[in-house]
Amino acid sequence: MFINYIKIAWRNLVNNKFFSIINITGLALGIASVLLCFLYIQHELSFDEYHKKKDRIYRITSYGGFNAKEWKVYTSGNPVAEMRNNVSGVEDAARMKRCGGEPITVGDEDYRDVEITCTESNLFNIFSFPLIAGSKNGVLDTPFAAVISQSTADRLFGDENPIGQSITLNWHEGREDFEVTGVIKDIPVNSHFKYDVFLSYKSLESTPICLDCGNLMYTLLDQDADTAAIADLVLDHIREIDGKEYVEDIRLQPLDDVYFSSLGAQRQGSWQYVQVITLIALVILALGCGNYINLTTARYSQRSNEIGIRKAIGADRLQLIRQFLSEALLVTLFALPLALLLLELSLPWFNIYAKTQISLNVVNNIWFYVALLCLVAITGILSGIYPALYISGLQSQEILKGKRDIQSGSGLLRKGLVILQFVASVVMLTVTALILQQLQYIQQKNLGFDSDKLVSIKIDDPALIRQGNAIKQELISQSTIEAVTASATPATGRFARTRFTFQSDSIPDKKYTFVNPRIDEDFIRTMGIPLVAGRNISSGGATKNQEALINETGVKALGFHDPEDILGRIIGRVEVVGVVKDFHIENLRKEIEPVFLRSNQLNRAYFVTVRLTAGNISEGLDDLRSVWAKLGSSSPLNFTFANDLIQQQYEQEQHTVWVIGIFAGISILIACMGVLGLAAFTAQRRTKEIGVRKVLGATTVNIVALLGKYFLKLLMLSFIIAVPIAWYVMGQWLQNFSYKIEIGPGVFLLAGGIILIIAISTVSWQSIRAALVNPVKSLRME
Amino acid sequence: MIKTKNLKKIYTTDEVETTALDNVNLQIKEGEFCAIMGPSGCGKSTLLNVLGLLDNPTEGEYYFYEDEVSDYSERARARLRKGRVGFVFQSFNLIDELTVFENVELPLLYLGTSTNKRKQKVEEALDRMNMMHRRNHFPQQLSGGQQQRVAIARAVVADASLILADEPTGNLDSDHGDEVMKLLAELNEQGTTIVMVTHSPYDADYARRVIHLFDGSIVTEKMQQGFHV
Repeated sequence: MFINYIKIAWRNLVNNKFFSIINITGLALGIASVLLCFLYIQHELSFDEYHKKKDRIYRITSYGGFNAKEWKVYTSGNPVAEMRNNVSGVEDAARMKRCGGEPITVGDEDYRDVEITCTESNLFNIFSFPLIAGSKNGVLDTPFAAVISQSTADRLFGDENPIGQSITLNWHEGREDFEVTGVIKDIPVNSHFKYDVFLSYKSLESTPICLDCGNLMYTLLDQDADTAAIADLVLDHIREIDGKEYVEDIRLQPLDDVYFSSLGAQRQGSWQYVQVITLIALVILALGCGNYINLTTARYSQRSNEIGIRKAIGADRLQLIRQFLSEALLVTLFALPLALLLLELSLPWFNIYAKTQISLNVVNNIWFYVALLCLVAITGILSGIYPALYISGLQSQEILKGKRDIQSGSGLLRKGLVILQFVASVVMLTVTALILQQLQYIQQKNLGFDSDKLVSIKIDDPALIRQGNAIKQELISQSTIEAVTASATPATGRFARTRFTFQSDSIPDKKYTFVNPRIDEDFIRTMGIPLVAGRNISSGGATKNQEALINETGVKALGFHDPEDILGRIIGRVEVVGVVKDFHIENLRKEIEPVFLRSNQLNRAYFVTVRLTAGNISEGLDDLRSVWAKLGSSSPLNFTFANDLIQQQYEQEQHTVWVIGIFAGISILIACMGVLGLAAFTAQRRTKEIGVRKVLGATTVNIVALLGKYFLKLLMLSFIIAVPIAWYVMGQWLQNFSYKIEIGPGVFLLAGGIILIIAISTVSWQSIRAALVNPVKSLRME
Repeated sequence: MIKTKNLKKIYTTDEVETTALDNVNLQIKEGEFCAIMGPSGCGKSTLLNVLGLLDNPTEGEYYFYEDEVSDYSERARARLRKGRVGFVFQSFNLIDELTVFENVELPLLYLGTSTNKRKQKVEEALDRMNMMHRRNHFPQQLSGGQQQRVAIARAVVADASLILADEPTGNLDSDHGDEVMKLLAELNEQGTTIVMVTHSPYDADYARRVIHLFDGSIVTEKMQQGFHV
């Protein structure tokens, strides 16, 4: 019997190629989307899963701070020794601290793009980073020892044995040699770490660097350890022994939570993103299934005779249900290879735009096949169950007698499915358009400073860092350079990392918190930030007293209306000498905060920001390179355009818009295929009616309007449903931004218009074909 | 074999109520060849559908063998129908996607007959209808007469004791029509009960009893020799 089902399904597929292609393609797109989503989620959930002791590993997070109080991952590293020795339930603990800097030098060669950290041997006991050379015990126990990853070893030393070799890198205020004592396998991409070089923590002890601050701490606990009690012990240590009373709370964060934690890591996932992609993939699968249901129930009116005969000669309902479910499963099976091909082709693109590194190597995983089979079964059943139940429930004598208006019964469902497709298309198109609009708004918004022709240079050479003024002088003497400013952080993007809080003089309980970047006297000129009142700060060397500029928001925050009133006031021993116009120091997700621009007297230049003169940018860059050569820098010029730095802050949004845009395109494609199929079917079914109308004098336009009206009505209804959904979704998303576009009617009309044009073109194509048939022929056919 | 008592079939739409069958009392014995005649719309096909258990009457009683089946569910009727009733339609109603062999095989598939037995019975039926040479053809590749012979083969393959034929020659020319009628008469001679709806007095002459319907009621009933036989 089953072979009979397959036989008839196959012949139906072959005899109705047009509908079969639509069905198979729609389902393939749906399945490919779900598979892509499955791989994506699997990738996201696989983070840090490879560690053998993963269930017992915790990251230590702390709450508190001098000024703004928040949860942080950085804390004192001092409690590790006590934890290892005296705390029950703790098997091991290790700390990590930022240290060292590029470039790494081996012989005469410099190597960049290397992630460096300082840590202890215990880290390799906690995490599964297998050592492939060197001894696991004490591999980082001596000062100036380094453990490097396999690919770094290959890069630095080629075929030579890396153990015992020396690497040189930036260290504190100079350069330092480290001996390679171990090589680990590369850290997998699905890891919240991405380090290439681990330096021994002991190396830090000979530097004046603060050891009890800025540490990442990880601990390995016994199976049933009391995490709260251990957290309390750590807190006591930090508060009482380290004397950091501003730390108010300590929590142990399970390794499972680290990747999706908002507290940050080198690689960070987003649950919201996972949820959005899952939802979209499911909607697309539903659209594909919807197409199948629509076209299949529509075409059943053509197959009614077959169904009637089968019933008349003895088929019972269950047998018919089995037959039609088999057909749906067969179509889904045919869609599967196409889906896998689409997946294979789209994965590299998805990886680029979604910034993932998903591979198809899961094909070796049995669960992938199990998931695949489940997906086929679910898709087949979802697509086939309604048509099967519906059609098997019809009375055979009605069908055989010629009461073949089967479509009227399932008309409501069909309309519903078409509406669902249009709604999904309009919503996704609107969302894409609105994200694009917001990104464009961000790009075009006046940030309060002139970001054009602004170049940010990162100074890698420790010798140069101390020569801020010399660098500035050399640069400003170039005709292509208009202004230069030196700072400790890049002047755009993550400019200000610190906050500065002070007590109000008049109201003792009131505290003010200001963003507190250090600047030089050329900052506002280089950045193009206008002064509103007062004067610029004087050059750092000229005065012993610190001076500061304050922004307009700062003036208001301090309770002044007129900027002039604040001039000359001393705030935290610093004199306010001028007020600048508000500018966006952070990305546009955040509101402009009060800013306290304090003069930097350290003559340290970790970053230099240069404004090129209007004209040829490449000449300006050439000049920068020649100055760099003249300064005798040990490392090459490392520059970024300010506009690129600003763009980097919106990478997540740019990836999102691509992914949603691609999915919107797919959903429109599926919806159009569905509409095309239905239009073809409607035209076919109404052949006789069209013939009669033409005989009675209807024109082609009349006929197209007649057939188009049905879809137009559905489209209008979908539009009405889609607008509030898109409005709500985007309203929620835009809440991430303090500076955002207003959602106007234009974008909805645009999305609706695009879908309307595509849908009407699709319908018209079929309608015109039907309308152009000679009525004599169409009437004879009936 | 078949007995109806005051059989009524009323079709109701929102505005109109149409009585298709009105107090039909009829008895057909095993082995009979009965023709039902009457003008278009008199209820012939409706009667055939009720007799063939495709439809339930609105009122009255219907005895199929010993069972009173007038209020049987679709499923119960389907079970009763299987293997006992064969249908022959004016428009043949073969499934276009299946070959001649597969079309004839279908009732046996639904009866769950084994593969070997199926093959044997289908070949027998096709042989009887002289259609073995066309077994692998699709319906569209056959003439109308050939298609109807396949339909008859399908009706008899499961050894149905009752064949209901709805204008079996309606779509055929006279030569092919005659051929089909002879096959039906032959089946009747071998013991199959046949109830046939027809417009053609010529075809009706193959039957031993002719029933005339008018506006849903039996107006005359005539026994005859069946002079073509």
